[in-house]
Amino acid sequence: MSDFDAIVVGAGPAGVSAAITMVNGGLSVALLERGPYPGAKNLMGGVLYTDILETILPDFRGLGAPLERHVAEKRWSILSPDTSTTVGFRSAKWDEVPNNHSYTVLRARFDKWYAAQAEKLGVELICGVVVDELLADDMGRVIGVRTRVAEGEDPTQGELHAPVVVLSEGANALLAEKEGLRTPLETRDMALSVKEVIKFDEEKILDRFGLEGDQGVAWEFLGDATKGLPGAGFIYTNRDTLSVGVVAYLDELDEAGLSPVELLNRFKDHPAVRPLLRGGELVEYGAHMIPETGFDRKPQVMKDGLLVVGDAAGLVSTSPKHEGSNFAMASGVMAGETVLEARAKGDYTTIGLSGYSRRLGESFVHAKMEQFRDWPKFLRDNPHMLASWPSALAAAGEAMLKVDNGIGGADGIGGAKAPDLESQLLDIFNRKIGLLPFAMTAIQLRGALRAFGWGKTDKVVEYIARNW
Amino acid sequence: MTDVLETRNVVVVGGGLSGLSAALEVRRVAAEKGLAVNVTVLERDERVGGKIGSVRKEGFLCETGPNGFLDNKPATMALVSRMGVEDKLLKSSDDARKRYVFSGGRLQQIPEDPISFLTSELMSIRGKIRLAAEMFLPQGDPAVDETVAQFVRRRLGQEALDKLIDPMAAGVYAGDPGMMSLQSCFPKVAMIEQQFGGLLRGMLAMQKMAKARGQQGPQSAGPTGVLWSFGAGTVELPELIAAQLGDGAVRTSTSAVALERDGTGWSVKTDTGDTLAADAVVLAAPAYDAAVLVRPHLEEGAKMLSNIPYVPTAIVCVGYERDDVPLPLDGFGFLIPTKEGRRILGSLWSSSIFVKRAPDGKVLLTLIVGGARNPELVGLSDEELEKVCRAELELTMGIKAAPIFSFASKWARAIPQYMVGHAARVANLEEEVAALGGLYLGGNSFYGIGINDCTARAEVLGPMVVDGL
Repeated sequence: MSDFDAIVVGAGPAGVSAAITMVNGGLSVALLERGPYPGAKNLMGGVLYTDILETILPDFRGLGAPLERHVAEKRWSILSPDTSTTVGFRSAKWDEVPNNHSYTVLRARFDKWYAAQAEKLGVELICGVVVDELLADDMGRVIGVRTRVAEGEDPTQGELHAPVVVLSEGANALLAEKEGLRTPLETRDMALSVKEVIKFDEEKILDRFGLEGDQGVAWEFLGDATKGLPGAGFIYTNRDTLSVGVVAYLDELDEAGLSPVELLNRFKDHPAVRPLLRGGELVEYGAHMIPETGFDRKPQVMKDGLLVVGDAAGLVSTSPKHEGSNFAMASGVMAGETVLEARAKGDYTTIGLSGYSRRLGESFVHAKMEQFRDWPKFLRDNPHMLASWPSALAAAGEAMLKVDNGIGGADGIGGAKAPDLESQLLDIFNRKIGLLPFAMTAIQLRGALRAFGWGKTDKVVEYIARNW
Repeated sequence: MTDVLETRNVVVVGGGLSGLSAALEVRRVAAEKGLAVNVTVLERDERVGGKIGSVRKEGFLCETGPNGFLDNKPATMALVSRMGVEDKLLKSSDDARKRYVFSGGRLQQIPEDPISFLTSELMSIRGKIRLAAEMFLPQGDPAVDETVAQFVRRRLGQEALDKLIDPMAAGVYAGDPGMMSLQSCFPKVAMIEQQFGGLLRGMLAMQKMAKARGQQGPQSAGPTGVLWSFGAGTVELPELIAAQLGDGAVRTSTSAVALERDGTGWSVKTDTGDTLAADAVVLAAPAYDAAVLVRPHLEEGAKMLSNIPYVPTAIVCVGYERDDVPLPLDGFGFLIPTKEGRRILGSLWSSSIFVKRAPDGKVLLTLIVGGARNPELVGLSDEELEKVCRAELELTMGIKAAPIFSFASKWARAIPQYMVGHAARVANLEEEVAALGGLYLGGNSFYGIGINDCTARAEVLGPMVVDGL
């Protein structure tokens, strides 16, 4: 006997999306969350893209989604130890709904709200429940979950049965590993994000970042932000807090002998970052693992009676756009649709559930993962990109902007001139980067940039030939 | 101390090729050592052979599973000659060496040697240069169990993965190269990189060694050798083995339902109500069935067994009038890269590979459908499946006519997939199983899925089982 038509393990964006899709299709759905409330285990904050959310809950704004600020401006800075070079882009169009579908959020709040919407639609949300194991029949088909309620002095165990389980347990994916769907991650496949939420007066945030009303900034820092390791630092403006953090790979951190906390403190203490954080009060600290196994090392996403979604399915964005939660929601919807289809056919085997892998394969999720599959590898193979290039940029900036007309030199005013800028820049290029490493990187960059649609030289040549 | 007079009992669970050849090996090795051993094979179906099946219908000979075996590995040939049944062998035609890939919307021959590779249009110039650069790439880390996709993109480049390796992975395993373990699926390739530093270097070195031994022909990391089958189809191989084992030794329509400890040995309960005492048990059933038997004794091991995924596959045999097929059919057939977006994995030109697979003036094509790529197609009805196949054959081979014959075999769990980490998990399992004593792992879920892998495993199991008696 089944207790529910479907069980969803984990109330993150992927799981809630799956639950809503299934409950809208008329199924009875249990949504299990191990935290005391959804989002309790999630300390991530960042940009949430809402284009997928809008297909699930078209009126998410009216339903009071806890969006902190819309992203009115994006900034990128390249840091060297004592300099920063920044570009930014801002559009007044982004101030109008749908706000370019980009909002800063605090996931602890967002997840709680999102799960509450599922509950309103009829999903049975059960918090504080740990799933230790999936139940399987003799044929190895998943038929439910073994639960444990950890509250109180002695944990109570129970079983919940359903013909299909959607696994959205997130990055650690212990159940998926137990089911042999994924091998334990190697440190090189683990990116770690450490983050602090720092509280300010709302006015202070507006003034400091040049904002008004609901405007917000998503700001990323490369180069010395991670001590030149592949990764990035970030500052996102929330309503009255800042999310400040760094992302780096575990093996690289190990090799550099840096702890994640040290890396974050280093970033916060950078001369270009420190003034932005001055006077704030730390309210939350957390770390989150991102399983970047990539497109060429996909975990299995299904089994008889089981679908895996979100981070647990390795659906992680390696693009500079960080669309992981978008991938998660989309995969949840695709899993939900597949379950409805399987129910209509009465077939929950991998054949009946195979619509999920087909949907994933045809979706933007796989397309983008494929497109950006080489981006992390490129950054790893070209460590100087984030180390020597920023310092060359810094030296070039200093050379160009230096206020020095030879006054005070031995010859006084009108004395020896500094070498001309061009030869200074060439000298910097030669010293800091070098022609051969530059050429090698340029060749690889072409390949990596193909991800952005910039690498199609054949098309560029064709275009020039046609238009000249 | 072995008591020479006492008869030992060995029960083999599973009457596919793995189980039958293991049973024969156990008996042979025991005889050599002068041990009296009574071997019983339990087979659930009413016929032996497992996934191997050959069905003669309306003059066509349809294979429901593998089409034969290559002679580039010795185990099966050795088995055939030990049985003294070489006269039953059927050699494939010379044309069958030619293999095609459906790429860029048309069939293109896979180049057989470096010269034809350079002139072939299958790969772009950029792809060829990238592939040739393999010669100069550093060796990978042997400690990492890479996926096939990771390995191929690292060494040979994206285009070689898309156009050559992805279709090959589909043809052999019906699998997804982004999930399959290189080490477990293509151990020879992994070995060549580690031994010679690279594939091209390895091929050159192996060619030199072969020449020194006086052998001819190019060496390659890909499939080589000649394909062999039998006059009445591949199923003759398990049938011949079963015949040699004798009627009493092979019990069809009998499945093992429980495995119980019995002193130092085992007792095997069957669904026919028998209990067989066994000094040794060889599990040569599919992993998910073996898991059920093992569960009471090894919980973790059973979990590992049931976690080995199987992809569903349909094998669709279609017959045509020769004149309705607008191609010379001068080869083995073709495979299709995922990127082409087709709904079949490929097609074997069965009547071109072996003689007498189709009546005179007619041809037989065998289509592979489903796998990791399109598992849902295996759930289609026979009519829907035939429709898909007709549409795909028109697109790939330009066949517009309706087939005069069609026969589909569908396997919900066809081919075990060796995912990354497979070898390490199998090693763990072997240790656990060995600790129990008297229990052995056979079948194609561990060390290779092909006919040669099954018979090679039997060669390992024979002495192992007998030594343990």
